Amino acid sequence: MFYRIVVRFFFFLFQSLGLIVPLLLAVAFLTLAERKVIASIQRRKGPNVVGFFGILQPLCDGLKLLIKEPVLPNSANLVIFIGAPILTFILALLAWACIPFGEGVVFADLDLGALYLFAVSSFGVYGVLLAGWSSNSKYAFLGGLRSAAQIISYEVSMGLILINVFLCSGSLNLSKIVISQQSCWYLFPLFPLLVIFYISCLAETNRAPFDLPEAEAELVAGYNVEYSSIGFALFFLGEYANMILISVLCSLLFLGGWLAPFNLPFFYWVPSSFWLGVKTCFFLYLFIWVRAAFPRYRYDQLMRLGWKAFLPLSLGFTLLTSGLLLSQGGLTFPGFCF
Amino acid sequence: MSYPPIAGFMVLSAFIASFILGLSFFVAKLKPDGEKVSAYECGFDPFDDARARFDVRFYLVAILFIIFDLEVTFCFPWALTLFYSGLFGFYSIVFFLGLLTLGFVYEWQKGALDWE
Amino acid sequence: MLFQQSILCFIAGLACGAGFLVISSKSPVHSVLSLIFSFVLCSFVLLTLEIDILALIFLIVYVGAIAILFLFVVMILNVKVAEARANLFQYFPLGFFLLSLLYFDLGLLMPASFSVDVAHFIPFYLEWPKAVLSFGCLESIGFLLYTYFPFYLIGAGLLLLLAIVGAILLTLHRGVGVHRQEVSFQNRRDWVEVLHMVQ
Repeated sequence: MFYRIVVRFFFFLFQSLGLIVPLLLAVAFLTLAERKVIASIQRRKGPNVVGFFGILQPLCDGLKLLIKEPVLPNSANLVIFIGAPILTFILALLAWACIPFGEGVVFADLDLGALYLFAVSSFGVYGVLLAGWSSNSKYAFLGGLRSAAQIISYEVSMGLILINVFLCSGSLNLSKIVISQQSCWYLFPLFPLLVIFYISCLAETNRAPFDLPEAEAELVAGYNVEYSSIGFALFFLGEYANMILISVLCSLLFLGGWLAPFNLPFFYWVPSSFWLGVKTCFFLYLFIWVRAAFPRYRYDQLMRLGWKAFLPLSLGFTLLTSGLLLSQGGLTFPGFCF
Repeated sequence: MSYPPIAGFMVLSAFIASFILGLSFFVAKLKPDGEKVSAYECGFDPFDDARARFDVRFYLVAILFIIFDLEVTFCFPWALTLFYSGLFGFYSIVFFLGLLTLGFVYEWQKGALDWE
Repeated sequence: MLFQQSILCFIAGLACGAGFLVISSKSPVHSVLSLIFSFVLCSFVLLTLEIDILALIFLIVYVGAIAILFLFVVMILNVKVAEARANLFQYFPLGFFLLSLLYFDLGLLMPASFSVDVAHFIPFYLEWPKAVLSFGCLESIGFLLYTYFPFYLIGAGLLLLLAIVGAILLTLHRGVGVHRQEVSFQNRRDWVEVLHMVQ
């Protein structure tokens, strides 16, 4: 009995570390990729000193952040100030628990996986808001409030777009959503929604061109201005892990996840998670490209885009999709879609 | 039920995060002084309490978000069972969404969505 | 079973403790945070009862939306604690009255008004492969809410509409002398009328 519990515990540890460690490595190399890609867009070389092609640069950055002095501001509420980056980091990891990487390759196969993701991502506001408030600094407070308002404004249209996907797939389970795309990726029927979803994701993760919370010119660094060393690193890790998560989510919901693009026999012996990786890298590249290529939005424009363009559009699309599916008999029975 | 492993995962990630955070307090050299630990404000000493009163518009955004979030939540079960509830279910949600769209039009007309 | 029940009792006790912290803590932000904590614990209670959909909806709506509103209000208004804490029990009778009303509602009125004849519930014809499939909570709600109880749905819609109108009437003020961007006006402008050749 005792032996079994120990074995199960180590199995669990192995499983979760097998999810967390590659994720953190991916975040590290995503920062390198971002710097390299932006450098090539701006015709520079980017980091190329540490290691071959600067491949060890992210590790050095991490080490540097670790040995910097953690400053605790004297006017801050210390418990919340320390808790906020931890919360952000936990949430960024927690969302990954229900992501399927292949058929059956999933940490926890939730029947309500997509709803779980929606819930966890709606928690993400707290890290930002609490960090901004507890720092007790004007820039941080303003940045936190702005960021929170921005995140919640775009969450509504994301939810409505998710509903479109559920209508098509008839399930909330992410694996079943992918499998229901076997005949046709949702990219084709729901293409406008993919565009809206992706732009909302940019706003949701506070990325350029919606990186107003971190607008250097007016807010210094936004909600994390008071954080130094590893507190800052945790925010950074959380933000980049969220970027990768959103890219995976886009490819699961719209690009058919781990399914191969063509049903050729040649593709059978390519591992299925390879395709998920390729699609995710495509969306991640888009993140970086958008940051390098587009100017920042103004705050009122951002709010107008979220409330006056995306919300009515996605609402209308929900009715259109459901009406079409209902009239054409394209709906599937829940739990019975294949 | 596949939620217990997620609870374990949560505990594990909390442990990792606090471990990393605690490590930096041991590894790094701590040398706080009055200038370093005061809140950042462009060179001079902080003027007054940073938590000033704020624009009520943020409150309006939050309350509109609640309403539309509830609307989305009402749509989740509907999206899965539309096959069964059929045309009647479709029209009931159309009526529901229509009411909210009425509110949306009202707020648009009133200019509650304009950010100044 | 006993294990599950003891976990349930433990989490529920923690939730009660967090609820006590809500009224006892000094700073308003701290009390909102303990409110959030108790919401999260309540959703854990629902999870241990295996009502996962309600737990997730609880998280999305209460923690993800309503608590954010509370936090916004507390942060924006910057409420300082200056009140004496002697009148903590001032609202006790009112609270007790509301609580008993809620229990009356939950215990007596709700089961009576939401009873469904099972024969009606089986949709149009009994198809065995489908009937054998077990439905989750989400499907059960979906089957009932949009077909048997649409008036509750529409009542909820009316309440939400009222909330929109009320919130706008209470808070909306238009600043004077603020520049607004009007996209339609910008798009309507014709360059022929605007540009002039200066001799």
